[in-house]
Amino acid sequence: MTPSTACHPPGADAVSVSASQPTVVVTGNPNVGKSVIFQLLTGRYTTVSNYPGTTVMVARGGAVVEGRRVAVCDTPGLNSLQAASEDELVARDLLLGDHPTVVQVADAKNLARALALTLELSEAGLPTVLDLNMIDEARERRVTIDVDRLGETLRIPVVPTIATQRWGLERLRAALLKASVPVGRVRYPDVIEEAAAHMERLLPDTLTARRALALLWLSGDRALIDRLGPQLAPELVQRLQEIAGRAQQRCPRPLGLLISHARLRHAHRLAAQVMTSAPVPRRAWLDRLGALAMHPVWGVPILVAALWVMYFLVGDLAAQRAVGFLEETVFGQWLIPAFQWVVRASLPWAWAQGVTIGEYGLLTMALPYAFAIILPIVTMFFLCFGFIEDVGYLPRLAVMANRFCRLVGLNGKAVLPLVLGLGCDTMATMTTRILDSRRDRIITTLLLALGIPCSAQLGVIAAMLSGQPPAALGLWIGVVLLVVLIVGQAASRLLPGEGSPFLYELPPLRRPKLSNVLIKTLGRVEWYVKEAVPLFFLGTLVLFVLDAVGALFVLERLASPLIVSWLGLPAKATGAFLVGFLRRDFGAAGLFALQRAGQLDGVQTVVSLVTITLFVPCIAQYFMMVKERGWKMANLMAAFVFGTALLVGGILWRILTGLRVVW
Amino acid sequence: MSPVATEHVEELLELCWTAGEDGLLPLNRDELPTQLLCFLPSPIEPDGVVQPEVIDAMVGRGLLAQEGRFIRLTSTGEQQAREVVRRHRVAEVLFHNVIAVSEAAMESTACQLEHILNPEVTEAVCTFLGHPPTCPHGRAIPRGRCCEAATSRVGPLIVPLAHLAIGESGTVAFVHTTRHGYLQRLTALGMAPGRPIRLRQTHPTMVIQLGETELALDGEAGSEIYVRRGAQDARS
Repeated sequence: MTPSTACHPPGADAVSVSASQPTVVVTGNPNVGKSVIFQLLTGRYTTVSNYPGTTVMVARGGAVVEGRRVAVCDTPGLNSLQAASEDELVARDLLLGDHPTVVQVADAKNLARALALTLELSEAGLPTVLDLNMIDEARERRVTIDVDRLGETLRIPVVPTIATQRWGLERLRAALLKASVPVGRVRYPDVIEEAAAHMERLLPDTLTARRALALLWLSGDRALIDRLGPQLAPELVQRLQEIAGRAQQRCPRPLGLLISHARLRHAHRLAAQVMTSAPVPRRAWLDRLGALAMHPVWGVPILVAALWVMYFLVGDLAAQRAVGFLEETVFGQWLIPAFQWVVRASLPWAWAQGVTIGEYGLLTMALPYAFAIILPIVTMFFLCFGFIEDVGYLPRLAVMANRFCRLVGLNGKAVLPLVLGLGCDTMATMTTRILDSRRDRIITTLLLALGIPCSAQLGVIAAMLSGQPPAALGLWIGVVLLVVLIVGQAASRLLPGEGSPFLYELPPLRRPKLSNVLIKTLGRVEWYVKEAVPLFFLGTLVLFVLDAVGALFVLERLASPLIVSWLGLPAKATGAFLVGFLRRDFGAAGLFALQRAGQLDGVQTVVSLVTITLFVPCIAQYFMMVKERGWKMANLMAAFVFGTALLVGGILWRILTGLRVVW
Repeated sequence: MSPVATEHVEELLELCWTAGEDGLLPLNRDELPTQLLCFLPSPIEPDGVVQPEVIDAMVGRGLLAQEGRFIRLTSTGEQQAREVVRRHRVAEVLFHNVIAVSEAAMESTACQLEHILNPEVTEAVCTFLGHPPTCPHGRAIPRGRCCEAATSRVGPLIVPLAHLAIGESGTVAFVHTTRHGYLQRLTALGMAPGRPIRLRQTHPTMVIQLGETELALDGEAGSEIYVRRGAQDARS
């Protein structure tokens, strides 16, 4: 989850030749280990998981190859240059635009599919090294590949590797210098060959990937035509359109399909020449567990067990025991008295004491909030989550939840960003790029902003609800789910277009690699500290200033119709909602403190939690929404979410008090 | 032999057969229900009149029997008509299911094919299609010898994915869908004719094994992907 800078500045010319320093692009089908290879080449960590769609943006790093420095880019997975989603488009544009050297990472046991992409790289004229990764998994499945013969056939370096064990990496690094354009011309139906040849002749020489471009144009790739079109003379665009149109007229089937089929056939022939496979004696237990995890019957207890373990670890172990120990013992008995003693001794001024150790003090509020309440919870959550990601459970969860997603106008693939949102809504908002349509991305972004609490918030909420009767927990989940359902339904009806069909590749379950889980957790915790902690300090400072000048009192008075009369909460809760604008978990932590001080009863706890769960997205998420969806839509969504949260909270309070519920 | 073209004879045989299905026999040779004819190549004159010499020649060859102005198929004529109609409709299914061309293109091509398909090819195509009982317009396809032989065996050779039993394997025959974007993405994941495929589960979501790739699909795909049944292992 470490943010990374793009190789390619956004908005730059996508399909022209650039003369920058030598670039190596790591590409390949989804979930074949590109990010691990990138990491090993550059020493830079990027998130590695066992599901397609982990990498949604380009990460950049440097590597030294035989004394020369080269830039290396990690890219989202690509099934074909005929890109289908936004993340694929990013990878495609990078390949066709920068004319880089390519390291194509392949899943060795799925050679034919990888070769189909190699053939496309050949058409694009890109110097390539083929990395047959996960060769150990191929061996387990009794697949053997004649590596030398494959290299001779394609006339490129072919290197088998096991990236997670660093096996074969040095050979891969050395092979980078010998990269060359793969040889292997696919023979397409005559109609296509003629049209493509004609178009290639017309395209300007400055474009390097002319054959690939011509074929993509013939496939009717809208994104490409829109990008390439403006760079060419209008008459030329018209000529190309005519040629493509005529070719399509001569064929009853879509040309794109004929092209893909011909290429796949060629790839399978190539693979068959170099590959032998023997029947696998019996399915490994991980494979069987993988099948059970999405079984209509057995999948449910597995899901419940996974949730229970996670609740135990995050809600109980971290949010109760660890938080209790850190907050009450470490901060309450040791650190805060120490801070108070030091500050009183060294800073005689009242305001200085107030800003550090007062009610809204940086050392007495921001620090314990960030490190005693939130940090243990997010750490444990990220740890569990990293484990689940590494095993490869998430895609199976998508299979289980496809039905539910249908209810909100999405398909199972949306489970990934939604579940990632439980970790961090900001990152999840970016992950919506893996979804197949703009409509899906909008609905998912909205639901993330509205009803998906992030881990930090979730932990605090779990801690606050643990003291309440189980019905309170049920009510909180029920209300939030209901709101998500209603809003999702409404959004899917209001937005034009139909739900996009479900199609998702399921990776095999794998034994998680502990070191990767730990590194990933550390990276995410580091990111949390960097991003959240400054906001905690800022929010505390704002509260201190408001309190010092008497504005907090005024604000509490002003907000009192809303907080006290409408939501039925004590006026002190205003501060929590105020900082909730910065981060929802900060707001939740404020409520947590109120509850601990005995100022919230059971009903107020549930109402305040439902409201803060649905409350405005945090600052970081808001800016991510702006980046992904534009100002207008982000503002609309934020305003809508704010109104909905208050509305639902108020109604819930009225219903609960009307029913005379006492918790 | 008369100079009348075989195509014209076969067209009229087909017309009579189809009219018989609709209960229109016997036919008045001056008012033939020409709307039942396919249009290429056609024995009908531009003004909608069937060339009388075609009918005369067919009567002469014992394919048609004539009483006054009314004509009907003789038993020889019926036998031949049956073969023509069968070829035409099998070709239609081929174009409709496998190649998914437009209706106009399907009709005109089927009309041409019915005159050139030989019995062996017709049987092969019919078997490939799983001995379809009806054409895309819903008219019955006359059974051939291959169909009768097949009724003793299990089901058609090519079935929609959803008809497979869980755990059953086969190879991809074709994908027939109007969702072009979906088809493109399926293809990019390796879905192409001839690939080994196995149905892993249908609930809560359909999961298939396509070679070494495991895919989750939506339910609709189950009726769009056609599979040639066979005991091939999906992990080729």
